[in-house]
Amino acid sequence: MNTRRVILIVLFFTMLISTGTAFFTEYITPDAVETATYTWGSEGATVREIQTKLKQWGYYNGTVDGKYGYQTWLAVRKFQEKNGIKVDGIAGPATLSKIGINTGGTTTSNKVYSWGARGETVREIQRRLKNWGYYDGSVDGIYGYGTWAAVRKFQQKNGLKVDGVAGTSTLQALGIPTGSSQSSDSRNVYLLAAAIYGEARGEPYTGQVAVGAVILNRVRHTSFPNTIAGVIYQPGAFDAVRDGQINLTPNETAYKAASDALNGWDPTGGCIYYWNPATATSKWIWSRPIITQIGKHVFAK
Amino acid sequence: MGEKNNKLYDWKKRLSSVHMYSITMVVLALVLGFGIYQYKQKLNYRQYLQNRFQQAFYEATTYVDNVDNLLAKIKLTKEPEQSAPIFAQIWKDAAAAQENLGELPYQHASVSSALKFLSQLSDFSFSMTNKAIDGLQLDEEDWEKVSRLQMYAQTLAKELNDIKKDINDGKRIDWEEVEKGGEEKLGKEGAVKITGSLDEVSKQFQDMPQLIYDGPFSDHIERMEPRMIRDKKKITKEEGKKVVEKFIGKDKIASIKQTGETDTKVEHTIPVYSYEVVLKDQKEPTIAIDVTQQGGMVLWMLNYTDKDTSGKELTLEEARKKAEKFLEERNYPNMKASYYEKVDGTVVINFAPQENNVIMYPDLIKVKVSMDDGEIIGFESLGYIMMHHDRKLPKIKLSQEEAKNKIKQDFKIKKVNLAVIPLESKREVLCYEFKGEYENNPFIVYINVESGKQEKILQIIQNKDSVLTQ
Repeated sequence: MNTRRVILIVLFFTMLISTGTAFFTEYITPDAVETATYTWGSEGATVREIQTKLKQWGYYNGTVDGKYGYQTWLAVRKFQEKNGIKVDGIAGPATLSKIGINTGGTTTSNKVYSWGARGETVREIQRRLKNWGYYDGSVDGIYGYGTWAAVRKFQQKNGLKVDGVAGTSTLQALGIPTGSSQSSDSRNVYLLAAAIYGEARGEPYTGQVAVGAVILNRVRHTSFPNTIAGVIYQPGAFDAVRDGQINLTPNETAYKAASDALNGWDPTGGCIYYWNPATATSKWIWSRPIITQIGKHVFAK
Repeated sequence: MGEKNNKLYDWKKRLSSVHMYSITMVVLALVLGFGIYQYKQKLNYRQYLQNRFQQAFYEATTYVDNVDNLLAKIKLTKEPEQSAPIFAQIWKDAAAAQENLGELPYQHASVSSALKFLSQLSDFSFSMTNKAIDGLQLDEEDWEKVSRLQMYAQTLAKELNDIKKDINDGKRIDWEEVEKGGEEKLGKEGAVKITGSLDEVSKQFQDMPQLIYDGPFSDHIERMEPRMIRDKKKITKEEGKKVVEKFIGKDKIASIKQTGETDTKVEHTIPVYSYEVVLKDQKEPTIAIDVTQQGGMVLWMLNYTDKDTSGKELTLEEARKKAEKFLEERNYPNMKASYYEKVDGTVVINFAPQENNVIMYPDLIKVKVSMDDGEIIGFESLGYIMMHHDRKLPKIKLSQEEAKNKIKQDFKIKKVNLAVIPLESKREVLCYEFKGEYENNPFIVYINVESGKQEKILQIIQNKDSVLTQ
């Protein structure tokens, strides 16, 4: 009796501590692990892309929220069935490439340089290989034996398939532009959408575009940092960054608002500040000339 | 009563059993250990953050010192080739100083003028570097600007070095304190100056005079006036409503509500009336639209209806035709599409007017079309309203052939056009626009028709969702 109770108490405390530790570590480092397969519980931009595509083709009729839930699972299954892929509801490399999403490294593209090839790109290959000591022939723009041997040596050193043919992956390793399309997020749509979601979800749509526009106006303004990330993560600039809400996965509306803002829509007429009059604590902020109010936020220059 | 006593006794007895004591001790020790661990970790994070800030502060100080020295040196240079490398150094160091200062947790009010100064200094030096590269002598005005900038650089360097001295004297900057800001502290009488505070600088920088030069951070940009509407008459809110009706189509509208109005006293803005529109098949407003108070032009419109997709998809060509028709009906003639970008079942098309075979890129209008049914769901014309006017184009001094010779030989040219393009400083230049390919990647190269200077190179990031029209 006694010992059982003791064991129970000890168990209870261990559990308390371990959940506590788990909670704290979770809280401090909410890192997203990106893998090439997407399944139940996956979140993020790629899931969003999957949903968008499946919605366009009529497989999916839920909301595009970037969360892999039951609806998405069902849609992926339907898609797999139709396309003769193993029906498991998991979006792996085969499914992704069928949907047309680049999983990295598997771009089937473009030009391949091999024996007998000539031209400026070959010259560039030779130049780079020569700089790094793989090649000691002349830079003549002709893919001959010397170049072939050098490419093989380069591939061996860099863990590429050793075939002496300069394809996409070899060219990329050499740092030569391949012209293949990448589903890159060069304009930081995701980051901007996350900031909008953290700061202004629940605001009317124009209010969300407006928050995005303010961030972009700051990027162009003299007294703020000159990049989107610089502006968003500037210490003390945004509450959503301070309390970590920026790490929430943005919904479709925030995403749309972000791309509208990036495409130049600015409902604020060039404002660089906004605040909620009900909760703003800074006195200084009220000295700014107010341009307009949208939803709960006041916007100022 | 007796039972209770018994229980208490029982409990005491149980606790006093050696076994129980040790268990309690172990549990307490575990909890304590956990607490200490968490506390130490918190201290570690805090220290890490303090160190990051400290580093940024020291780096900012170093770069500001550099800038200060370089500005003193540059006054000694005479020829453009002497000043170019020094200006390039200032350009880089001022930008680095700005970046580091911007990372510190200062209240924006106390640091914004210093940040502005550094941005402008960097940007100004870049523009001077270019001037020197073009072989041009700096004129009297330029030197006057350099002297003025040097004065402010000295002030900033001195302030930062005073803080450094404080640190060397054993005071520490408590960045948490700095983040909370001097604001409340300043309110009280006899407030103590926080170590690391930049409030002095912000006071001295407040009356920094305007700095005008050929760059994107020059003060002239904010003061630009909308060319299209500046001489037009002011309209009333009711007239604005009519503009909305005409723009969207009276037969489609159920109701229009005016939701806002820009205070015309605020300087350097385009005053607008804002409206919300409820369409006939909707219950809630789904369109937001701003009409300029002067001239009554639509500045932008957004239709944010969440539509169910029908599964159909227009081609880009069809979407472009719809957008072209839309613009023509609303009195924007000769608009030429230059760029498409597809976003989530919609496409945003960039238009610019073409006059006498010259494309006027500054007068930009963006039209958003639903790829589903071709409905126009967005319109944005800030560029057009700011820039559109009858331009006096400069004389072409360079033939197309001569301009071509200015470009690298193996650039494969596919199409040539004349175009007015805006530089970052909003200055406009007339150029030959060469569209073509280099190493299999599409580029556009702009060559000035007067000087033959290569004004701009654009790389078209090829992406399945964006297309450049030929």
